[in-house]
Amino acid sequence: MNRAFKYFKRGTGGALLAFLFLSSVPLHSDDHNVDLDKSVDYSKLKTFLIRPGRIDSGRQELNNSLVVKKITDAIRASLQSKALKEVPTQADVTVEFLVSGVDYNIGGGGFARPIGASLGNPGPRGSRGPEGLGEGLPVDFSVGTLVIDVNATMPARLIWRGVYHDTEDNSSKLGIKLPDDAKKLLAKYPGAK
Amino acid sequence: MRRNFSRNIPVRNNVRLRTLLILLILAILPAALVADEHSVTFDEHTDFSKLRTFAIRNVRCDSVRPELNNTLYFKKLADTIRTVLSAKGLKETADRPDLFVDYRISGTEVSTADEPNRRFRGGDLYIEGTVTVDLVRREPSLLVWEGIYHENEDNGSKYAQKLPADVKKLLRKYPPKK
Repeated sequence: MNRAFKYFKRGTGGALLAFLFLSSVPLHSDDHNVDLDKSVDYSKLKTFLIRPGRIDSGRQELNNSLVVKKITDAIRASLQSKALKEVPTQADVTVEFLVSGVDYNIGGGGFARPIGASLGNPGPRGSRGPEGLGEGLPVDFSVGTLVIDVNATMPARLIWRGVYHDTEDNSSKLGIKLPDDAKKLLAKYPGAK
Repeated sequence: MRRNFSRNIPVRNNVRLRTLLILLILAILPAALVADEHSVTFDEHTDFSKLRTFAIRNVRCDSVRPELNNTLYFKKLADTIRTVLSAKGLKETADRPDLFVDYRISGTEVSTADEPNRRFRGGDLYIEGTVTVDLVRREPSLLVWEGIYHENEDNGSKYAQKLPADVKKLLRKYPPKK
């Protein structure tokens, strides 16, 4: 009985330590969400048009035409793989995307605070946030949000939205990851009704 | 040594076991402190059995989060409300309904730096939000039932996926038991 109690004590102690450790470790995992209009017959929507994407960030490594092009290409490839055809006009659906980015600093005690919404000095992990906002803090991680909207044209309305929150060390890595994130979102298009 | 004959466990070990259990509970307690909460209030003078029809009227979203602030999501929540109320025998009608249903959503990202007592949550950032469902009597125009659900989740996606279930939980308490 004493031996059983010892094992129990060790097990419980281990579980307790694991719990305390896990509860204090910052969790920065990606997450995504998809919503669709269940009243739409998606099989009838066969053509698409991609509108110019927008990037809402002051970070040059994220807000540049290359990133926009890569995300656009990823969206195009994903929709084409689902047998939709790109057309220049009169498409059944139009696709829009928006990217926003926020940098965070981890302060004392492991607390994260946003620093100036990605404005100012671009740079790798450890670079500083914008002095202009009085928050010249090192960037510890960046969170990017990619929103892909699919709008029906007749009548004009939102019929599908995918949102991907990606957490990376810096905006540069975000720019690299976002095209893959777009693919992951559109892999769920249109989705289960 | 004295023994507990019912289980044949030494009393001394029982004390140790109890101490360990108390420690375990203390470790879990901070997580329990940030659990979701909800409340329902209603007008005690209203005879809810006489309110048989409803219409979904207004939605308000106080969040800029894209997974919450969009027409598809509003429709999803409206469908949830519609399903639950219909299952309770209420009929949806656009023409002079007995009840109007209004609902509001909020959701903001919170850093544990803002609330140090919540640092055991398991992450630095989380989403804190509220969904409110109001049932307003048409004649006379009067709020007769209100359900409020406060939800905390690790991220915006989880939060968006949980809200329809929260709305169901709230409306399960309609009509109120007096």
